[in-house]
Amino acid sequence: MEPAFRPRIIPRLETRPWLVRWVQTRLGKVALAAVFGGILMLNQEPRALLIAIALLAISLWPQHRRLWVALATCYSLLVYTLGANGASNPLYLAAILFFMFAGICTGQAQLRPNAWIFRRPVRNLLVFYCALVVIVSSLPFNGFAVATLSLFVLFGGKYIWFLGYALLDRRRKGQQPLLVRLFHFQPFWGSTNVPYPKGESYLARIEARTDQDMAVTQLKGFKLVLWASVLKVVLALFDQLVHGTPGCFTRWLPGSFAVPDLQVVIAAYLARQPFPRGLCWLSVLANFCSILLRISIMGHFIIGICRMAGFNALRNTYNPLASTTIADFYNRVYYYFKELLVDFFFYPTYLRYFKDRPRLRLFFATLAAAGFGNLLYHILASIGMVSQIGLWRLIVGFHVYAIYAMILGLAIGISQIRSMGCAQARSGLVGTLGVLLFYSLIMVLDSHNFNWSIADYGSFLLNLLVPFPR
Amino acid sequence: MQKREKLRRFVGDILVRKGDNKPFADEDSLLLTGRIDSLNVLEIVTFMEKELQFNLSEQAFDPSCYDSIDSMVELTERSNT
Repeated sequence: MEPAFRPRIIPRLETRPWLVRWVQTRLGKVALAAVFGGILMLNQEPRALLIAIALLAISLWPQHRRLWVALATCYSLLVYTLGANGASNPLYLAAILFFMFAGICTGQAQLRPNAWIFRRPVRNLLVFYCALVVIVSSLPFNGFAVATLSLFVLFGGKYIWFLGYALLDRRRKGQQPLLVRLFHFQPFWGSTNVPYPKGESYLARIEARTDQDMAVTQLKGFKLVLWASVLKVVLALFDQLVHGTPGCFTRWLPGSFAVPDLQVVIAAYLARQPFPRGLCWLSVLANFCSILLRISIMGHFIIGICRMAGFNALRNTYNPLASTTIADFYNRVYYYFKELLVDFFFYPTYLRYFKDRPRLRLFFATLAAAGFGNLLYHILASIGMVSQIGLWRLIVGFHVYAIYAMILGLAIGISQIRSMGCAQARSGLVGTLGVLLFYSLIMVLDSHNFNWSIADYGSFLLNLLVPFPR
Repeated sequence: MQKREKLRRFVGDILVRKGDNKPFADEDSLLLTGRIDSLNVLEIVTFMEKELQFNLSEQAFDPSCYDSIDSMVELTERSNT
């Protein structure tokens, strides 16, 4: 039974009928968009004005919601993505070429979903893209065409998973016009390379259908962004109190625990000038808390804006400290990344292999997703580094991440198999603490410092866990 | 036992395991509301294959078809016709 009264930092605005009614009025819509834009400005969001205007248009004319989303996304692409990256002719040409390529792929997949190339469209897309990366990185000459091709590859890295979702939707009826769908890639509410929240067919399913739905969804979005703002203050406080990072609380908090950053701690250990073991542990735990807070804030802002646009998306991060298993934690922290891995790697593997061996089937599919898929995603997300360090060094540099992904895949796989056999939810403080400790330690490997090998990281971790005399 | 009843019981067990003791109706959305996730969908698929003689290879797999008990029952009936 739910408790009658539960204190909340952000009140449940969407449960107040008068507020839901007021938000549906013209004045309410204008006020909500203005206050929301103000909150984004206070949070130093550079696109706050664009977002506020787009949300106002969506609120006032929700029947044209998809058009407003596409227009705002297009503007955001031209001004904030292309404009901020030194708007050059090869860059614009690469963007145009990429959208043409994406349009042709999506349109053809819809017209001929049973053609051999579209029977397994995502696998074929990934093979094509990886081959293109290899070709472009090994071209022995420079010039306008090569620069354009390199930028096309860069664009591809940013948009490939959006295109993947568009290809998965190829059989869905009643879709938006192709151009509108293309301008839902990297939507104006923000995304990493992971599509938040998934693809177009998912958006269609979670779209508010009535004014009442729209008002409730918007209030939930407003609330989420308020919560993200609170977490941002907590993060600033945490950084200052734990690490001594100067910030807005310097005046009130003159001292700090001066816990060094994890990278500094590892570097000192490798230079044979290690910090005390207790401080190393504090640094590992602080790194975990910091990552958790940053992921929550980023996801809450994106999903908050998405909800304000009338899409009732699930949160990316939801109460991770309540996780009872390793698989549960992953689902609660990186929801949309996990969904990407599931949609593109887990389902295809699960549906194809070991059909008569259920446990092996589940374990193998989990390893394919959390291990291989996770690694591939991160290599493609770092594809911009190829021009600086070359493809081979990039791949070699990812060997630490490959081991991280493999351990994670194994752990999630085992966790999945164990929880499948249980009729009741596991609970208890010890289980939760075990999960948090596992992730605190494994996140040490989730570093993109290519100067250190797995032996360096392994030695550091071993030193943490087993106190060797030095 | 009827297909629907078997499915209800199995999905109910998944929800209880997740600490969700709220009641659910056959038409209630479970996937879109986050009460079950995509990994639970696969448990349901495996259960349907094993217990309800549901042949997935005949279907184009779409996780959204596993959103409610009604849609799951419809899927098994379509698979058997």
